[in-house]
Amino acid sequence: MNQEDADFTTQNSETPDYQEAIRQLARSLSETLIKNYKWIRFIAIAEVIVVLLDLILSFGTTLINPMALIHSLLGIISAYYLWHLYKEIKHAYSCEDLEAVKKSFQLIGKYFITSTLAFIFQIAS
Amino acid sequence: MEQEQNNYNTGQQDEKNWSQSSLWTNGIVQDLALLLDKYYYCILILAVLLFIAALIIGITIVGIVIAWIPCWLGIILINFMKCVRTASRSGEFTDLNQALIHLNLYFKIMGILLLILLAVYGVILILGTAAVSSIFLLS
Repeated sequence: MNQEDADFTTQNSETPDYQEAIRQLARSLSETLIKNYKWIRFIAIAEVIVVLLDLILSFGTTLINPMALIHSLLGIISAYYLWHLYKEIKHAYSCEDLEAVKKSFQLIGKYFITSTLAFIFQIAS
Repeated sequence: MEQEQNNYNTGQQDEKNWSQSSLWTNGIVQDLALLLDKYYYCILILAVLLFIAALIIGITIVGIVIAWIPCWLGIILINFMKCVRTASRSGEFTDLNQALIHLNLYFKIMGILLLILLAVYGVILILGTAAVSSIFLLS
């Protein structure tokens, strides 16, 4: 956003039209995000189950191998971010809150960082 | 005549409101897209890793059957980031919405893959338990 646009937005941020535009934007974005919130919740739960099953099926050798251990921890962290993403999406949809949409986007970014790292450690282990 | 003038005025007002609203939302869409654009290279690395995984899986004959799945995920991620980058530059809502549609598809495929993985783990657990119990019964 350039300076002129920023000034314009600041001047009009309190008007009802501006508030309505923001609400409409938040509603539209959260409507797209909510379509898959059940899958996001499922992935969050399934990732934790996969880590636990990995631990059981490897007879605890995951705990000895540092690379595999870090991979498992990153899997749990990404599941944590996904669970929060699911909650934020639900909140954004029900309250038409742009801040929740922003938070969701940040969580998506964090999820991808942990996923990338988990993938790298999986290959390394 | 008066009615026509009123309609004209209302139309002008609507147009003004629309352009104002568009300007407001364009700035916000740009800000939102920039939040995701920060992770551009990270997601790009993930996409490349998925392509490498597809190559490794595809070496075997059986692997070719499933090698296209990580490839597909990588393409979806690249499309997602392309749309995010476009939205961060243009501030267009449709670009950001398109990016989110790609993300939804990514999550859906990941979910289905995890479901299959859980089923495979379940089968392994059942077979393992059956094998161990049969050994105990025989001895």
